[in-house]
Amino acid sequence: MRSDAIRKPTTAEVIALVVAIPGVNGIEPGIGTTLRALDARIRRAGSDSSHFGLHIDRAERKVTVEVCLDPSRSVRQSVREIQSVLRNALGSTVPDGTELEVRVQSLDRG
Amino acid sequence: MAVSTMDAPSGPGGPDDREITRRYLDQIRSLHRDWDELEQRGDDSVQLSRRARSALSESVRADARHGARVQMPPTDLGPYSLSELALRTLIRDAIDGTEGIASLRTSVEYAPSPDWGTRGAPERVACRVAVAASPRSLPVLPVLADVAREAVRDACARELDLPDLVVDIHIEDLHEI
Repeated sequence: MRSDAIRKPTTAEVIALVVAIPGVNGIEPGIGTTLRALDARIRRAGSDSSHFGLHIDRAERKVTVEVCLDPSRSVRQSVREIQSVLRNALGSTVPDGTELEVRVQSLDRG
Repeated sequence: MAVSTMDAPSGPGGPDDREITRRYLDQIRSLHRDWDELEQRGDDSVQLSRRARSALSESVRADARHGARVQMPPTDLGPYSLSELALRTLIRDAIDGTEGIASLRTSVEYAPSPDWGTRGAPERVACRVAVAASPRSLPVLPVLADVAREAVRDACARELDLPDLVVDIHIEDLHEI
């Protein structure tokens, strides 16, 4: 029995980490995550799986984040960094091989 | 759930896209703040509130503005996609960044995709452009077209790892500077 259980990060915490990445202008939700976030609120399912712009589906083994990027990095570089941050933030709180999908909704060219 | 925007052809977008997007991002930021605060205080009045409904209708508008999702070659850590809006922004900015050439309308042809609601990788881009010309020095149009073409190809290769894009340039307008 582990004495130091790994705490599941809240979606708000994960979002804060993603938004802090240089190259990320902000979270930009699409309909999918918006509906899931509202649904989670209504069912009082807690905020550990759905928030605007971020959806963690442990059953389907898929994490989706929807963002707006800025031009300080190439799109590909920013996307990869987001995926890296997601992987580190979620760690073993998601099943092995969980897919990390980034949806770039818009580019803020400043 | 996904709204399919694939029935209509890829639209040209509007001049206000940037401003509208900025306002939307601000709205989402403040909504996040409020909800997190209310939740921390144990307030569950956010269920189906006016704000929730307005968030929903705003996200429907945003979805229409974004267009369909376009699959990109995945990174080593996972898949990603761009909205048609983001892709168009990238291409238009590449052309607008060249000397004397302004993008007018951009349309994209995509590889077929098995997924409903997403498009395959871009294969061919058609860019309508306007070219600035002074009476003293007429521009060599094929050279300018190549400049625009290379700008788009470079941007897509560098930003998205899409090296084999075919780019058609259509010079629609020659205006005096």
